[in-house]
Amino acid sequence: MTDQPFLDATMAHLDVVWSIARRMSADPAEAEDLVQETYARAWRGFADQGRGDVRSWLVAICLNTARSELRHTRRRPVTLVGGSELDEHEASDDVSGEALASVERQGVSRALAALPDAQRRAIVLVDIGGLTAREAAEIEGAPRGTILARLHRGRRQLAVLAEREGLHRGP
Amino acid sequence: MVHDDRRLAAYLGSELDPAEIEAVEAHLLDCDGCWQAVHEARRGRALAESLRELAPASLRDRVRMTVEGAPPTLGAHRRRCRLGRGAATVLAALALLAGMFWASAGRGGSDPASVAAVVRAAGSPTAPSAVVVDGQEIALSRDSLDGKPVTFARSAARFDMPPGGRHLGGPDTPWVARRASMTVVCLSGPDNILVVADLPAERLLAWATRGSAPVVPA
Repeated sequence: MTDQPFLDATMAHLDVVWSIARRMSADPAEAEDLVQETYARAWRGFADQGRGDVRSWLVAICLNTARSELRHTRRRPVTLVGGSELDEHEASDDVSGEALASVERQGVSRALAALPDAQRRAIVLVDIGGLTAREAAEIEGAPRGTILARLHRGRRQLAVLAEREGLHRGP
Repeated sequence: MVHDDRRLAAYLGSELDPAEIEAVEAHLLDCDGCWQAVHEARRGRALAESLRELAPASLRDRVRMTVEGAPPTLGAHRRRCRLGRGAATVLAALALLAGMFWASAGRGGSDPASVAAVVRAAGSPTAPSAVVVDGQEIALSRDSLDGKPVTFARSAARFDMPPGGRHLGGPDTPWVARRASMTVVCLSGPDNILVVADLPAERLLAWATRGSAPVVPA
């Protein structure tokens, strides 16, 4: 099988897979490994994928891979944003808008990581991954209404936790 | 209508039909609890959406290498688990060096990484709020012009002009370039601003340089 059809179908979704992997991993290096393993597994299964929704299919592989890695390492994912580049911003004397945004994202990440797992996953799939509630329900194997309820409670809790982090972004 | 988390979430997700939307909004006007719940949920959603990011350019290359059969670092995570953090650091550094070498060797004459990243962000449906390129964070925001999304990028570092671009005057004046259907405009000044949109160059340039465009990302 030539790889070009696979790349054409999947590379457009790399940012979505990356954003989700970042929320499911302890650090950027682990997230990169997760994305790479996701694409390797996807490539092996591409011939059997049919022509369904590629983005949802990739996201499902990413989550399943994260789960299997979790079982392997027997530890809970830690959601932190930023590697050394963000730390450099924080350490800088230049309190720029970019550095402030980085600090805010770190606070949001901490708040997201503190949510119950099911709520966090619903938010990761829908708000960060851009899936619909129905797509998220199929991936999670849960009714759509359950996903919607998790989303709603998770978003509210996230807002409350972010408030405690001193963040005031949003409407 | 009673308080219903699922229905409120569907309302926020634009997943209700018009009659249901009308019913929810009528309820919100009468119910302080649900009004507050929707306000909090909206805020939570906005916070979560701020975590969307662009994949690093090096990862894009790495994934392609995996698929195209070049020597990949597949399974680096599992190796790290066995070898411990010290060895993992060495492996990560080697992988990074290899990725940098591969990227630099394969991109001769191509766009500067920061410009390429912003153009990718402009075409991304996830609308990330920032992207990090070579350790430099670039803040992103979106507006619209003539019904088309316009992406603004601000960086502490300058955006080097890509091949095929042209300055409007001398070397320190704004430059403009085309990438596929996208027009890329770089504004000079104390901040390094890049404006990208699927619009004719003349239209975007006139709008971006007249001073009324909201060039400072939120």
